[in-house]
Order: sequence, then C-alpha cells, then structure tokens
Amino acid sequence: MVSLVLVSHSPDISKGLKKMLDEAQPEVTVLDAGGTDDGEMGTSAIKIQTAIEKADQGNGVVILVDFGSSVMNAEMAIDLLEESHSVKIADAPLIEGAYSAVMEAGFGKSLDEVVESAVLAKDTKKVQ
Amino acid sequence: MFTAEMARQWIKESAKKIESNKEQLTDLDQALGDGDHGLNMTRGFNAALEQLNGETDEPGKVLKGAGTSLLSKIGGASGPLYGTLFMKAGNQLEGTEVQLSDLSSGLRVGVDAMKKRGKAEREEKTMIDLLEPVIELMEEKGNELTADHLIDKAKEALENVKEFEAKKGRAAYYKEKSKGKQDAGSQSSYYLIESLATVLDKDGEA
Repeated sequence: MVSLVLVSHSPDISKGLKKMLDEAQPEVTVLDAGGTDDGEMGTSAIKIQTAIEKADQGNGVVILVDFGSSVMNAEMAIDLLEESHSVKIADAPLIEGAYSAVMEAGFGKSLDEVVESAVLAKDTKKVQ
Repeated sequence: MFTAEMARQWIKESAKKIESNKEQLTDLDQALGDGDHGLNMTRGFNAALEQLNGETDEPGKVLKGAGTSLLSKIGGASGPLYGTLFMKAGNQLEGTEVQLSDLSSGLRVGVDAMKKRGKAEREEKTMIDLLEPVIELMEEKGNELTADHLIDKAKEALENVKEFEAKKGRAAYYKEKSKGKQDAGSQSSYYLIESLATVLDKDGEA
C-alpha cells in the first residue's frame, strides 16, 4: 500500500490529522512529520526525510503539505534521501487531500492514483 | 587563498554577529514575518559552531558541515535555504588548495541552488537580493577580492532590498506595505558577508 507523510507547521494539526486518517483507513501507514525537530511551530527537512524512509512499505509515499516552507522542506527531504524511494508531493489542500489520499491508498491504488485523488480534492465544492 | 581555518573563522564570526544582532533580526521578522528569525539563526549558527571540525584542512568540508547544521537547526524556510547555500558551496570546493576565485564559483553554485529551492528571483525581497549581487562582484574580482569590496556591495544591496515589494514567504501577504521595511533574511545574509569580510581583512594583516 502507498503510505502518507503529513507536513504542517503546527505539530498539533498533523498529529490530529493522523488520528483522523488512522480511523478512516487503519491499514495505511500514515506518519506525522509536522513541526520542527524540537516540536516547535515550523517544518524540518530532516524530520520529513526520516518519516519518508520509515513510512515507505515499498509502494511509494505521498507527502501532504500545508504551505510555504512545508513545500521547500519536503523537496529538500526528497533530495536528501540516500536510498531510492518513490515519493511525490501532492499539490493539494492538506486535510481534504490527505483524506482522499488515505481512502485511495487503503483501496490499494498506485502512487499516481493516490496523488491524483488528493489533487482532485482541491476542486471539491463545499457550499453549493 | 581560502583556507580551512578561514572557513572556520567565517562560521565563528557569523555566529558572533548573528548572536549579537538577534534582537534586531527578531524585530525585523516581527514586522513582516513570524518573528523567529533571530532565535532560529542563533540556534542554527550555535549548532554549526559546535560541530566545527578543527582537524580538517579542507575548507569545503568545513562549509558543508556548517550547512548540514544550519539545515537541521534553523528550521522554517531559512534552514533549507542557508543549508543549501553552504552545503552546495562546500561540495564545490575540493581539496586544500582553494583560491578566492574558487570560493566565488562555489558560492555561485550555492546561490543558484538556493534560488531553485526557494523558487526565488531577484527583486522579490529575499536573501537572494543581498547574496547574489555580492557573489557577482566576487566573481568579477576573482583573487583580487578585498574586504572593502564585500562591505560596499553588501551595504548597497541592503539599501536596495528595503525598497522592494515582498513576493515570497509570509512577507508577501503585506504586498506594497512591505516596501520601505527591511527584510530579515537579507539582514542576516548581510551579517554573513560582513563576517566573510572580517576574515579577509584579518588574512590581509597576517
């Protein structure tokens, strides 16, 4: 199964989001890589790199990010990987994208399909 | 020449300047960002100081080691940006025989990688606006580079960046209101260049 890594500036947001995703699809590996190395507000390339390495079950990893330095640190984390992993950053809203992604990952979809489902979450209308 | 000892002095001097201007960096960042630049930079450079390898005589290794500390300890956007600058520049400098012109070429690779990492161009009110003009001058001067060249160019760049409208990071939310205010990242980059100038100055006296 494809795994997920969650990156938000607030460690509480990614922690809470992981809990929600674990309830939705318990079989999917979801790792929380929010906040800095010291658990403060911010993001860390090293923390994200470690999470990718731990999360990958051999079918790839999709990273869900909030904004700003989350994207930069996720890209840096991918560059720092020493072994080869299939990793993609989803151009998607963190919560909605992660929810779509975890559902599809749980259905055994491929990395590209999981990423695509997250990206589609961007266009979901909330108010009709 | 740019020796490993000079590289170590550069990191030490930078750490000192960042630490003594911590409050100023914090104040600048509070006006346009999230107000943690002073603290983050101090933490990063203190970590870079602690890991300094007194044994190696390769300046590239000194800069690379510092870059790794900056990446992991600064956090936010400045961590990967300064980390990229020092790691890439360090990677470029091979062996013990490094000239000032090699340092310029190394920093060129570093600043290009930074621009790519931050998807930044000139005149977007970022560290690039301070670093790139200085590195261009370094490339031009080659081995004739002096401390005064560095300081004059860095001062000029620091004045210019103030007037730009922020296009990157949290500062971009302020749009035209960001004009006239100093960018915290450019200010910290200024201290790095000022520190390099101090090292060149001391080398000239020796």
